[in-house]
Amino acid sequence: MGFRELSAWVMAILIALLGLFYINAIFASARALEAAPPPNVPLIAVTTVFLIIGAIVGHLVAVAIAPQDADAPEDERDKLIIWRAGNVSGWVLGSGVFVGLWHFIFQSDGNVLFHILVISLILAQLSEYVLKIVYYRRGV
Amino acid sequence: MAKRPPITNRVRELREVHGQMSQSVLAKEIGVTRQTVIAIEQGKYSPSLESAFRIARVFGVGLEDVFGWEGD
Amino acid sequence: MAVWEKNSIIFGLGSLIGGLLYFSIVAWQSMVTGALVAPNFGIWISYIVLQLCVSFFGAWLMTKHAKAAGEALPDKGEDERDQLIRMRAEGMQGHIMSGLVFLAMALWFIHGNSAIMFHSLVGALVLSEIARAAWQVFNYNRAY
Repeated sequence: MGFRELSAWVMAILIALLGLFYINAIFASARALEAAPPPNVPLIAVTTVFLIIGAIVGHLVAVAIAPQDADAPEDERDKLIIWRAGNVSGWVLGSGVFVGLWHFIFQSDGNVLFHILVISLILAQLSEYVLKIVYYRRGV
Repeated sequence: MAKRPPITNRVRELREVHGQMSQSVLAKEIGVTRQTVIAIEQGKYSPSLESAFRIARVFGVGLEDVFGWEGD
Repeated sequence: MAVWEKNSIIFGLGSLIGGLLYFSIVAWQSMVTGALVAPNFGIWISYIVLQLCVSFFGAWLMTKHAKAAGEALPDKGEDERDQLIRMRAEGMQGHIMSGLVFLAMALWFIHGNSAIMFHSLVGALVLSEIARAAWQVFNYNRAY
């Protein structure tokens, strides 16, 4: 397994775990408040810090496993995989933004719009990394 | 499962014939990663025309001696 | 000019025209009321309908003209070069949209006005679509 595939695994696992943690916390707040909670800045900050730390540690491990590839520039296959995965990720984000805007038009709840955007960003990133793994494993 | 490209290749066979050339050495010669060479050999990736020509030049053979067409 | 290149220009123009309409109405209504107008169904649907109408009418006109001029239309859809160019452009569109979404969220934090966030997000959709079209046209005209 090359470095770039390892990197995709690291980020996919991190984003999945931290994304679930964040979404769970938001839903717990919503249940307690019986309404969409306002953005929780400390929660976002903690999640982001953990993401950064996890990414650094994960990539150090990836470099230790595949040192030859770590410094190598992206070749044609890597670029194709990046473009394909990024293309789908863009659609996921765009759809999420669109859904959020439609929801706001009818509900006028800025908190819900904010959370839809965060979840869309999480899903877009997750889809990008998962697709990269699929393309590396199964071919592109 | 991703659809396999309708292209066969003899890259592995040619590597073995050329002094058991490693995938890493071939990868370096043509400017791709070792994983891309693996993917080419396994039929999971069709290299670009430029890379296909580079592979053929490394082995000193024509393009059709390396790659074959099995589509319709 | 490739059919899909013309297509991307048309959809980019659709976004530009829809966006101009949207922000003109928002600016005008905001000036009248003296405060940033809240998002409403009327303005939102006008933007979407206009963008879709301009885009699909433009695409229809382009196809009609191409047939009349005897140009070959890609009956099997995009070829590999078209796909590659479109994927790169849409990937870049996603990156631009991510950045603008973060900006919209930041503006909401700063101003506490969800109307700002909404209008910024519409701007993000418009700008990212225009950027996608521009990038596609650029890539059609450079060596690959």
